[in-house]
Order: sequence, then C-alpha cells, then structure tokens
Amino acid sequence: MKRICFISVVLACAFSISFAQKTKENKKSNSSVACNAEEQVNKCVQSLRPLGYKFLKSYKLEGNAAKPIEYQYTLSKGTTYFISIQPADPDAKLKVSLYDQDGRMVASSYNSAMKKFYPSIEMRCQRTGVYTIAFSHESKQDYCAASVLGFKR
Amino acid sequence: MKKIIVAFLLSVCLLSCGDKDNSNTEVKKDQEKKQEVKKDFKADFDVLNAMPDPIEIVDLVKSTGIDYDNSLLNKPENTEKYNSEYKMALNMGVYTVDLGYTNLHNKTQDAIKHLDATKKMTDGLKVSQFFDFEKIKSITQEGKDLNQLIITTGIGLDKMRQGLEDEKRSETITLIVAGGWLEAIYLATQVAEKSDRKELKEKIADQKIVINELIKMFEANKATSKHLADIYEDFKKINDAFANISVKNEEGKEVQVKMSKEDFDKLNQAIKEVRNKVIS
Repeated sequence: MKRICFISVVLACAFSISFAQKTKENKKSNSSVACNAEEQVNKCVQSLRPLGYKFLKSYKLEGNAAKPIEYQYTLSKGTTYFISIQPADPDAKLKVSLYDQDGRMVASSYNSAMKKFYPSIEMRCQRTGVYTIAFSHESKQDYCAASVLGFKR
Repeated sequence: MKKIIVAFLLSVCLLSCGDKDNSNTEVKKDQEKKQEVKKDFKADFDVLNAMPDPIEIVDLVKSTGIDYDNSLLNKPENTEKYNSEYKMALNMGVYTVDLGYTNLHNKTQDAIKHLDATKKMTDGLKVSQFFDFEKIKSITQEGKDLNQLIITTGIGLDKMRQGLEDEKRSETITLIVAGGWLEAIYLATQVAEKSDRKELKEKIADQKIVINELIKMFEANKATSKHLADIYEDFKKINDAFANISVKNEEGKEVQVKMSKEDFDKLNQAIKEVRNKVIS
C-alpha cells in the first residue's frame, strides 16, 4: 500500500511539473509571437531624420485595445514637435492625439471629417506645459506599435 | 482500490495545496520587495517621464551661437571620484548632457572622452546593457552623422529609463534625471551670461516647473538617507532662487518673463554652487 501511495505521489508530482512547464512555455511563445514593439521603434525613429527632427522619446504600444494608452510630456512654447506612429499592421486604425493641460485636443493624426488616418502629427507649441499624448484604436485590434517624439526649433 | 484512489486524490490535493502555498509565498515576497523599494524611495514615474529632455535646453544653448567651451563641462577624469551609486547616478545625468553638448558642437575628441565617462557610470550602475556603445563610438569617431548619433544615444537613454522603471530603481532614475537637468540648466545659465537671446532666458525661467517637481520628490524622500537629505537641501537652494522668477505664458500672446538681473545672478550662483558640489 505504501508503495502504491508513493508511486501515485510521484506521478502526480511529475504531471503537475510538466503541466506547469508547458503552460509557462505556451505563455512565453504566445507573448513573443504576439508583438515586437522594439522593431517598430527602430522603424519609427527613421521618420524623424528626413524632416530634421531630433529624437526625444520613444513609446512602445502593446497590449489590450480596450483603453487608450496615455503618456505625458512637457512641451515648450516656440518649439515644433513631431509625433510619429508605426503600427506592426499597416492597416491598423491607430491614431495619436495631443491634449493640452486643460484637456483640449490640439492635434490629432485622425481626420474625422475625411475619416483618414495619418502616420504622424506636427505641432508648434504655443504654450509651455504638460501635454497628454493619447494613442487609441478605432478598431478593436490590440496594440502592437511604436511611437517616437521629436523636436526642432 | 478505493484506498489507492483516496491516496492518489489526497496526494494531488496536497501537491496543489503546496503549489498554492508556494505561489502565495512568492506573491508575499514580491509584495514585501515592492514595499521595501517603496519605503526606500517614492517616485512618480509618470512625473519623471513627463519632464522635458535636457537635450532641448542644450540644443537651444547651441543655437545662441556662443562658442563651444569645454571648460564648462565635467571633466571625464572625475569619474574616479564617484564611488557611491548616488554620485554615479547624478553624474551619469551630468555626463550624458555634456555628451549631448559635445555632439551638437561636433567636437569628436571631447565627445569620445565624455562617452567613455558615461560608459564608466553605466557600468557602475549596471545599466550598460541598454546602450550600444560600440555603435555610438563608431558614429562619434566618424563625426558625420550627427542625427544618427543623437538618435542612437537617445534610444539608449530611453531604454535605460524604461529598464530602471521596470526594475523599480526609482532613486537611481530620479538622480539621473536630476543630474541631467542640473547640468543642462548650468550650461544654459553660463551661456546666458554671454548671450541676450530672449528664448534662452524664457527657457531658464520655464525650468521652475521642473525644479518644483524635483523638490517634491526629494522632499518626500529626504528622510530615507543622509545623501538624499543633502540633495534636497541643495536643490531647495535652487528652488528658492526661482522664487521671484515667473513666466506669463498665454496662448497667442508674447511670453512675459519676470526675471531681474539680481534674480538671474542669484539663480546662476545657486546653480553653480550645487552643480560644483555634485561633480566634486
């Protein structure tokens, strides 16, 4: 009887370890296949150069599409800023909008009248302050993209 | 047979209970670790990430046309003096801004020296993995593609900030940001002594927003350690020097900067003192 108990414990243990490992491997492979935002950063950053913008920041956009992804940055009056977006899926309906400290939208990469998405926005800052950079999807697609912020005077 | 099944089910139950205990212990440990970090240094990463990059100030400094002056920069050989992590973090910020200044002026030799100094600080802080130093050095040595150099350095700094955030090294990232800001405003005030460029004065006055946020962070953490108490007192001197300075910044209207010669001199002196203490 003792032997049978011992064997059953060993079996259960082996089963539980192998199940845990498989679950871990599945999660790992799913997440790595899902999105490589780093690659998008490298592509996106190249959009700054031809227009003479200097690099300031990059943002990786990954995960569930349910909510907009928001970041804040202090923009200075008299400086021109450029925000470029690079989705992994070129057909993704991803937009970036810029809001001032009073919550007013000052620029957007989506033209609602023409229902058109643009890959970037450019804005000459009129008032120094903390601005919100908000990324959102018009479709229900998960985020897999990158964005870079550049400046020139 | 029944006994065997009962024994098997019991063993599975025991195992799964054991698993739960393990995962609970891990969660508990993780929470304790987070609390320890929290207890050590409280920082708001959203606020840190919203702070303007010092390269914007350095770019404006360069645009004044005032000649490049490497005597303004922290000496690369000073790295030998920085043995503590907080000194390394502050001076990592200082050296990256100096690197930006040398790069923007296309001063290859100085840039390489400051790049080496930056690397020593990143090695000491164990953040070198975020930078492609070989690539940065090679672009610097070629001295042709300034934009690519700024991009490559900027991406490294960006990755480092994200990495430090992931590792919850809030004190290190705050000190790097503070050191970088201090060096940038030091360069700006030094150049502003020789330049009447209005935008530079505006930019300096605008930094009141940044020092206010830094002071809040250092004040919340000054009880954590002696060096943070000292840093708080030092940065408070700069904050106090900003007291009479203000910027009226309304959309569509000319920016109005209120900063008398006395106000500027007081600020300049406070910045110089604190910056020299940081690099000493």
